[in-house]
Amino acid sequence: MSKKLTLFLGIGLSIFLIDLFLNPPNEEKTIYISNEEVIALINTWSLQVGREPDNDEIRSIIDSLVEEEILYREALRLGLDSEDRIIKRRLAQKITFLKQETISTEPEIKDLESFYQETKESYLIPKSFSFTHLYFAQNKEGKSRAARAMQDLSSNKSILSADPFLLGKNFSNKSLLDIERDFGENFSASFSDLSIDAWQGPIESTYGSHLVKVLDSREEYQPSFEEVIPQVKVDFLMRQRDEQVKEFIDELKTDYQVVISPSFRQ
Amino acid sequence: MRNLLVVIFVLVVVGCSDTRYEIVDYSGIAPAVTSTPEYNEDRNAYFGDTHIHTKYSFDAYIFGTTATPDDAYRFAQGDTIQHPLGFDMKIKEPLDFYAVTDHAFFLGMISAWSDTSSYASTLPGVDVFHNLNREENLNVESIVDRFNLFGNQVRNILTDVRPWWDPTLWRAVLTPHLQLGSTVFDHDTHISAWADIVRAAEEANDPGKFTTFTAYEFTTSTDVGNGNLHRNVIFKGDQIPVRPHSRIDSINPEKLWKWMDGLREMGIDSIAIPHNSNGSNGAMFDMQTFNGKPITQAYSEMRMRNEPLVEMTQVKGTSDTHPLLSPNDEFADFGIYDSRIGSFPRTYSFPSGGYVREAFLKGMVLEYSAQGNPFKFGLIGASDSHTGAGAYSENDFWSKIGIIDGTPEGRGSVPLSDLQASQLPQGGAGVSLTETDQGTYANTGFETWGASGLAGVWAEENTRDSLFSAMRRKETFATTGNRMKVRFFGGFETNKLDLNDENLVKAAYASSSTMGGEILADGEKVPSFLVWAQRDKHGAPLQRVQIIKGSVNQFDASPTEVIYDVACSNGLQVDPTTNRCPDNGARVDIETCAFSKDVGSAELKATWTDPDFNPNDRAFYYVRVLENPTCRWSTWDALRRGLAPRPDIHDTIQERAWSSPIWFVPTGSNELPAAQSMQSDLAEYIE
Repeated sequence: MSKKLTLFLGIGLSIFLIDLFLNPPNEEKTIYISNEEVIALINTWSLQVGREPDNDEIRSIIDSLVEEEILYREALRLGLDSEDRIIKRRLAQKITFLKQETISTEPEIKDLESFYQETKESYLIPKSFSFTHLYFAQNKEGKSRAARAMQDLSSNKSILSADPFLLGKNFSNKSLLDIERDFGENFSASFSDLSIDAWQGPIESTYGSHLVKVLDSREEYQPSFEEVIPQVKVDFLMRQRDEQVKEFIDELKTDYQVVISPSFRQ
Repeated sequence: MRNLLVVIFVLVVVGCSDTRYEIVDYSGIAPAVTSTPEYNEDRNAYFGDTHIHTKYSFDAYIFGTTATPDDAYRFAQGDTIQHPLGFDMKIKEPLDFYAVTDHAFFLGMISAWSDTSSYASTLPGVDVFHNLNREENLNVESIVDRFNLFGNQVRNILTDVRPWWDPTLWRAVLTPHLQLGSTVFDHDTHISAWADIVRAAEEANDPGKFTTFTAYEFTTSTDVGNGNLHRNVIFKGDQIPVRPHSRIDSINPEKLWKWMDGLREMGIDSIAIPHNSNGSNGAMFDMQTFNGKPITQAYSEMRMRNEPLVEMTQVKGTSDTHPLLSPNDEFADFGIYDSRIGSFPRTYSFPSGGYVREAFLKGMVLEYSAQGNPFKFGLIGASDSHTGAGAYSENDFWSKIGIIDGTPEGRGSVPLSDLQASQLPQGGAGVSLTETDQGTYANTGFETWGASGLAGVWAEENTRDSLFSAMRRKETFATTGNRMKVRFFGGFETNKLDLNDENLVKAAYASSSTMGGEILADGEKVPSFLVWAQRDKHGAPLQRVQIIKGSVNQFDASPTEVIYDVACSNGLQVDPTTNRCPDNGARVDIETCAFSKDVGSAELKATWTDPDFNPNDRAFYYVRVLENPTCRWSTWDALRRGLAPRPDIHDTIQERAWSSPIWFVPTGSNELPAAQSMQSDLAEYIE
């Protein structure tokens, strides 16, 4: 019984081996073209040409798709992909983005808090000023009028002729950035040196000359974690994403031994 | 079987309510508002953009955008974010307010189709969208495929309807929520994208510093001829419907207003802001309703209740006026894009009915014939950027769509290489080529677009309530992306204001109406106006300030338009015969883009009394502020490549700002004129 079976299996195996030798499996040599692929190509073609392709044209569209696929596979068979920088880079990007897209967990509050401790400075609220000003318009000899007015003020005389300013006279709790937005860079730059409660100037803005009296300044302020949770969360998730991609790469790196050609030394 | 169907039917009906009226309370995410330290009863100028798309918009995603609403709000506050082509986008100066307005129809669906781990990606026929915006696909070579997706595939698959026996189709009809009937729509994906937009707005809203609004774009058009009727819906607060009303619910804007009215009765206020009337083929400011019925008083009131503002300038052109409509306005040839929006191939959009100046006139004519004034709106600008980031500067411009106009070649400002020229989809897609001595340029239409615009709002403080109220009362102005500021007052005593009074603004508010308001007739009294403009410190000095007046005659409602220069730079005087300022001599060097820095004014201020006033005619007055000429973005693009500017487009522009109008209302103008009532009697008799 077992002899027959051995014989049977033996014959079967040899037929299989002979067949394999004569007709290697040709699955790899099947090119399947899906409906979607053909339709997409036809659409592109019509878009470029401005009409639907006729049957011959469809045949040639498919032919060129087939040729492309054949050349692609032959290139792979010859190993032409292995040393191509562009192909390498694309595949590397593909896997990174695959990794990036899979991260979407809700962060824990304690993680957020320690992240906040680490990056505290980025939530700092800058120093701000409350001030009033006298404006002397550029086109009305602002420079000299402002200088004269400053003299009058220092000798306690009253000012006769300041101009109205489009945005008004009094400004409260403005950061240097805010002041720059309303008056220009030049103006805000000179602000940090001003003392409180005294008329100073003239200071030049984009629009003319100003005398400024700082009424109050508020020192920079560090908001507590609770005050800035939403911002912290957004920043945390962004960093987490970058870190996980990096971790993923580092992890893979441990499987590899990197050898740099010892002759590379210049 | 029959019983089963009945059971399903009952379940479907019971589970049905119109989700557009279901409200979600998002309060508690944004900090509570107390009065902010900058509160100013004379009002501050705030700049912002109420028209920004992110990855949740179908077209933004197709053209490569992966920026989220969070990214958009970070950009507006000064952070750097990435363009789909990989370069950095950073704003020159942070904005005060910002609103993400993704297209409501199929909101969030395409990004979900693309994500192969999502349920939505398994819907039938969406596999062409798989992994669309993975980094390796974000390149200029993908443009042809993207055009194809935008032009063909989207349209094809959206129209596949579920079979009749599918309970979801019944729900679509009964709730009514027609998008559910599409085979490629997934309700959960849709409403979570919307919820994410609201969440991002709530988280970024920071009273006193930075204001956001929950908003979306209602992207509708006429059913014939593709007349653009797009508008952005801006919600005032943090009570937001489960899903936005979209063009799939109805393409008729009146249905949108009805929904907004319904929400307002529930205490949820919103406004809609139409845009790109220039590409509406005359439909935006038509003299009849969407369905071709005559405009009635009730229609006008409904429209004005819901649409107090119009976005008159943005990347896709400026809709102030067209040279064909205002032949006597030598500054009218600015930002003209007279193609129908989204037309493939590009199709001419007829100017009449598409520009705001003419609409103001038409509105008064409709009012004359007792139909109410449906076009009594204020003005803002916005960008309509589809990358999450508005491009407002001529010298740092990335247009607005993403990959296809993200390069100078793509937007037609520098010549194409031979290879690029051969690869561009031509003919049907609307891309033609222009051969010049300097090379071959793409004619996508992008070459006529602009680095525009921004909304200026005069409000007491930078909070939702304060900004929204200002937009409702139309105390707004539009700019072409620069930040010049303009105040505008009018009344019978306005010319008596002392221009040198330090409290000029306070006095003006006390004695006059401001932009967006009205002057009511008082006998034969003649109105006068105060205009006050300040330059953008990063822009060029100001060249002139103009008042544009339109009026309709008391006897036959015939319209007139006149432009008066009211303040000239460098102390120059207006020529009384031409109403124009003399040339101030400011020039641009096209080879370096340097412009005259010593000519022009830092501010212009004047009072003006209407010299051709008739107290019986309806009239409107609005301000146009003009900067000295500077290089257009296309010239900057060419300059950076060491090339000459493209010869068949403008190489310089004059950046500008427009105030909302002040309307003059004659006595008894709301009564039907005698001639008019006789006419309608006669009409009835004939019928």
